[in-house]
Amino acid sequence: MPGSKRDADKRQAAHREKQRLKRKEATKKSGAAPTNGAAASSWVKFEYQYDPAVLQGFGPHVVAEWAVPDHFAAFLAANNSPVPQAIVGHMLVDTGASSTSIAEEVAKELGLTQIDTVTTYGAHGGQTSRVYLAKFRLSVRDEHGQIHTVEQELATMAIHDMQGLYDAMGVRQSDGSPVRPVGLLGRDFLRHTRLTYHGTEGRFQIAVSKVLVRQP
Amino acid sequence: MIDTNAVIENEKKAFNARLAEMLKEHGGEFVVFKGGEPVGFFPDASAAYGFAMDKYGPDAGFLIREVAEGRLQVASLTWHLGVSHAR
Repeated sequence: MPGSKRDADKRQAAHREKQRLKRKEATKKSGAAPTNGAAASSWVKFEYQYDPAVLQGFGPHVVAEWAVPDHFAAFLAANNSPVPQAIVGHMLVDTGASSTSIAEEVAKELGLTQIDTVTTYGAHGGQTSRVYLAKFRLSVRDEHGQIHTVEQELATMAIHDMQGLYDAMGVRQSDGSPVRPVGLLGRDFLRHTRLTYHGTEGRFQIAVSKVLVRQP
Repeated sequence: MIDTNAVIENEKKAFNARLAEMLKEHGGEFVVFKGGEPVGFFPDASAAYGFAMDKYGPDAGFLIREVAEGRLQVASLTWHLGVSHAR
């Protein structure tokens, strides 16, 4: 019955509030610094706010960057060649992707070294994709204003014409500005995370294991 | 200019021919193949790349691959199935 459900919801909400106050009181008594849940655990949480329609239409994206690997940068510097600037853009958080991938056009712009090829399969048959060694960096500000960075050099497969697809589909940010897609954030990275997708509020939260996070 | 794709395909043939042998002692490591031969084994791709860059430079053409049985590569189920942004 609706009335009973409302009562049950009220009781649950009251219980949660009581528990929250209890925890707050215990923290005060122990003299411990208040935490955001991350500092006390091994997780650093980042939250992204979208227009709910944008989140539904295009999926959760995080701002990240790709750069040349350190050895390549050193090689270029030693040869008096300019080291390409890191390319910042949007990565689609993709639980359907086994590994983190880079947009082919980004790899080309950075002049990355191709180290392998893989054959990928899908609805449209097999195709060959290039594999590059690249440096991936995700820097985010937590709720205390502290910057945390995840940085990894990895062999990453290239995705064909990601920008073309995004342009064709009119992918936009919540403020209407265009998106520069730079890759897919796949399960090799996501295995170190906890994800919360709050569709009705347009919120997406990613908690990254401190194993991956470079200390600020 | 070398044809990087052609070089890598040749190195992959050599890799596949030596895979069973390499798996015995180097399974899970990353190997650098150059000239049809494994020239070094490393704990990760980044270390293998550092070695190859120091030894050959970025334009020489070499293969870096994990010593593991080949498996189906799927970049993204949604991407490949075309449902990422279907309208």
